[in-house]
Amino acid sequence: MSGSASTPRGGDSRRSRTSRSSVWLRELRQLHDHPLTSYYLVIGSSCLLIALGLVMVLSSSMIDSITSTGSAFSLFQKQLAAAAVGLPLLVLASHLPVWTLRALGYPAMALALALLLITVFQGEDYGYGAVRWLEIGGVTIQPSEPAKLAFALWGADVLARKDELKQLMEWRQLLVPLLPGCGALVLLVLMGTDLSTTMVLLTIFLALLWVVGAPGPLFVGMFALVVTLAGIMVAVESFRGARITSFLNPGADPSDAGFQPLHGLYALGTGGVFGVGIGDSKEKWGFLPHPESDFIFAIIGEELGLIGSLLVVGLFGVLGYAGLRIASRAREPFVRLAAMSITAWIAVQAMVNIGTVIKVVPVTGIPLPLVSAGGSALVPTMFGVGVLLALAKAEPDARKALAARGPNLVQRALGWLGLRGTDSSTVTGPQERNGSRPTQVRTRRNRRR
Amino acid sequence: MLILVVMVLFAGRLVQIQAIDAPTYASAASDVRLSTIDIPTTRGEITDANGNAFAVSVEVRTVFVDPEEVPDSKRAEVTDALTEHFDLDRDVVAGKVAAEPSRYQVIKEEVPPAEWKELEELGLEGVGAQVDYKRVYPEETGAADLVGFVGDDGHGLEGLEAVLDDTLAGEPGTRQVETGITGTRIPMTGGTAKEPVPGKEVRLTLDRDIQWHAQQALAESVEEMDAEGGSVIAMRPTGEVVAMADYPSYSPNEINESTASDRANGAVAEAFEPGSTNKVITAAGALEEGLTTPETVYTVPYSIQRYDETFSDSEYHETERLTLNGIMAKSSNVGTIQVGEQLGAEGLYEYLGKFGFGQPTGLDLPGENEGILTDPDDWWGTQLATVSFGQGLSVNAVQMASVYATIANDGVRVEPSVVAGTVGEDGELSATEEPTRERVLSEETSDELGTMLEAVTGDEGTAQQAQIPGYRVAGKTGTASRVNPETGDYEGGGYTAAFAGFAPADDPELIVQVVLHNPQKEHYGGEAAGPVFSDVMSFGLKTLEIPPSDSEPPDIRLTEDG
Repeated sequence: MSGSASTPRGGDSRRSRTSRSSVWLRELRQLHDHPLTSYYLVIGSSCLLIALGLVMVLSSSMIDSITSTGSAFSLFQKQLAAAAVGLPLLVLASHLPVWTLRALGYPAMALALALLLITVFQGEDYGYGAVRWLEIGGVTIQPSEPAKLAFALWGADVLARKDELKQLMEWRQLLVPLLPGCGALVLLVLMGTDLSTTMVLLTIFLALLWVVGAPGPLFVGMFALVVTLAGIMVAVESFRGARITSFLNPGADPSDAGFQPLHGLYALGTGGVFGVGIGDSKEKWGFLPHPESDFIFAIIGEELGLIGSLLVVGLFGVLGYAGLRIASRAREPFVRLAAMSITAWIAVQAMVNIGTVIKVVPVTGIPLPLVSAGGSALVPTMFGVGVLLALAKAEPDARKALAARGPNLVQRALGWLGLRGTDSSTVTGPQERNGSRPTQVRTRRNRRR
Repeated sequence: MLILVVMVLFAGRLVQIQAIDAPTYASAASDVRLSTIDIPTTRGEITDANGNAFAVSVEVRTVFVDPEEVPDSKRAEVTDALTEHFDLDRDVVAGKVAAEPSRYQVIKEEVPPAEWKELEELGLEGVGAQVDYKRVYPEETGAADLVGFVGDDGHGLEGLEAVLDDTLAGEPGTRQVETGITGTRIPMTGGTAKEPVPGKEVRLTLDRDIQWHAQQALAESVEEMDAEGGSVIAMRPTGEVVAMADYPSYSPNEINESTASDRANGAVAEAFEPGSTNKVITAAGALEEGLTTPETVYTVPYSIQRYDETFSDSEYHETERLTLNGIMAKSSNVGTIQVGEQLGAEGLYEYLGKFGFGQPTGLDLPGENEGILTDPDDWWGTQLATVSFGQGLSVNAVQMASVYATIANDGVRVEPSVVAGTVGEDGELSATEEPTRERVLSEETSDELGTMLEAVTGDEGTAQQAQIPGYRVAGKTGTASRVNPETGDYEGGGYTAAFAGFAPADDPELIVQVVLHNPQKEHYGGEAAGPVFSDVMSFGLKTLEIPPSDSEPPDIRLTEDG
């Protein structure tokens, strides 16, 4: 994968801002202003997160898997399959022209609504007390997850259309059909008592309004509405949450709704700065219910330590920054809106998940995007990342830059790093890709000195 | 900008959790995970002086099933195998095998390791076994009252098992393991925190064969005499208890079927008025103080008046002129009162105390009753008279046996003992602390008393039943009135029949003390307790391989005329 070769660089560039070397700074500024920077930051951070996610899903799920199925890999295999489905979708999405993405908005929204509607009537609750799952051809999906993607695309398309038609001066035009669409999704999602998805949908809604430059009072009003709704939901959730927690885990003190988050902190604390090492988490032995999804960040923190947890926060920061960069540099309204809505979706979801684990947000039960187990979440999110890449390429200079790099993905990546000249002789074909990596690493090290 | 703020906030919080407060959280988390498992250890054996076991611990297995581990398709197979192997009720076993989500259902406890091995070879899924230890008391050692038993927790509840628990129990080891919330052990964590220390073997002074024989003889006699109970003590002159039998007794393997009185060790727990066996102390005191000699002649009428009471001998006789030897041999109350009066209340009290009356025996057995010996200042008018022939005070059997052991040991009293020592893993005996020794009588007085007591079993004595062919036997009968517990009076209280003695009289090796409480058929010490004495004594002498006496008893004068 070309992206992975370049991403450590992405991470480094962020962290080394404190470097006093003026040469460094200059290069950094050049990179920062480079038209393809967003593209590589997105691809780098998301691929790292996906890779880390797979490893951590395996590590954190093996205990539960082996107890319930006898194989330590059963859940991991599902996740791997989901990633295998998601990767081509990501690549495909990243190559789609922007107009196709826009065209996807309405059908995707319709499909999402239909699936959610079927779920309400035909869904399975899998003993969790909430009807969120739908079985289609032997595959269980959670329609609320792709609904986030659908809403992000559709909402961006709707507002962009109105913007192009200069219809956004009126409140009515701003809110219709965006608000009803959002409302319908929220309602259907709430039927499955999926409060965290509701909050993500509302966040996307707000992000869209923000980008489109909704009049102050409207935005403030909507914001207040969302906050009120969220407040009510959290209040309801904390009551229900306690019940669900004790239901899932009879060993926990039922009166102690703080059991799960407390063990999240225990896990992080046990990890310390350097972590206990991959696979050695203790909290995954039943102390954290579903360590592979809602509390995977705690397991990362335990096994990889502060270094690992900061890295994850950093990667999401990079992804969020890149998403905002795409939005801010875009000229087309749709690109700006879609980039913003997808970024808001992923970033806010990550924020809430991590915030829950480190106890700065009340517990909501939301997966960590790209990392947590769950194909229904991973596949649409990977597609969303693909869309972000497509949007990044929509930047006028980026297209030129890409065209100038020639056909080889690796060469393009190296070119972005400014290594093309020195390494062009060794990097000639795909079969040489492996050989090129140590060289890069070495070069990078040399540079760091 | 917002993202940056959030990131800084999160990073700060993470640094707080994972760097600054990390030790607090980590230790709280490990407190939740850590659990301590006891590693059982073997309880020390209790053996006789030769290492024959009275109580042993054997390794057993607790066979259990983990229902979660049994595949549904194999349930029937597992159930059948368990049912068949242990001969259990199939429905009960089936219920346990299917008891998901339980992870632990005990199928059978106390399974011998070999039996478990057979089962293990079947390779049943979800069936396992834990090492455990079971206390086993070999049947019919006759030492149940002394040895006691352990409770379900493996700690002693009665007898020596309770008294010596600290020595026997050892210290179970502990292992600290980290477990998941379901109790599953997390691999590669923890380790043995403390190795178990096995309990020490305790070696007693008892001889298993003599113990067994004494118990049998006692039981037969109690049944035959229709007595309430009784006890037999066999002791060496140096105080080591060779046998300590008590009746009624019980089987330590069937504790639930026993009553508290079955379990009480009457040999120390029951105090009785010693009666004539006590006369030896009166004589000993008077002799030792030089107030009389064995040949001193006393005028002994049938009865004698002291204050408002008339004391008489057990059988009517004309007034006789008896030597001290004669008074002992014929067990004359009237004669003993005169000797007692020579010694005086203070003197008698002093000698009773020196012989160990009114004091703990030193065996430190549970429920010991040290008897009643009141201060002579508190004695009522006739109590000097009654105490001199063994009424108006009470003792337990071990205390009384110790009196005869003292005489047999040339006048040196050694505190009775029942524990020889502990045996370490190297098989070496580390002896218990030497018991206290105290000279009570001179060697000469002891010899004189021995001769005197030998006359008791002689042709003129009260206990010809106690004779043992080939051995010179010294002893003394005791027939005491018992207090009727309902009236507090001697009226209708029955008798305590006792016999205490030692052999061979010329070189004493073994003391036997027999007491029967309230025998109905015979109540004289000679008739009731004498046969048990000679039975146990002769068995004991043979078992201890003590050579027969090669001398004749000296001729002694019982009357003035000789």
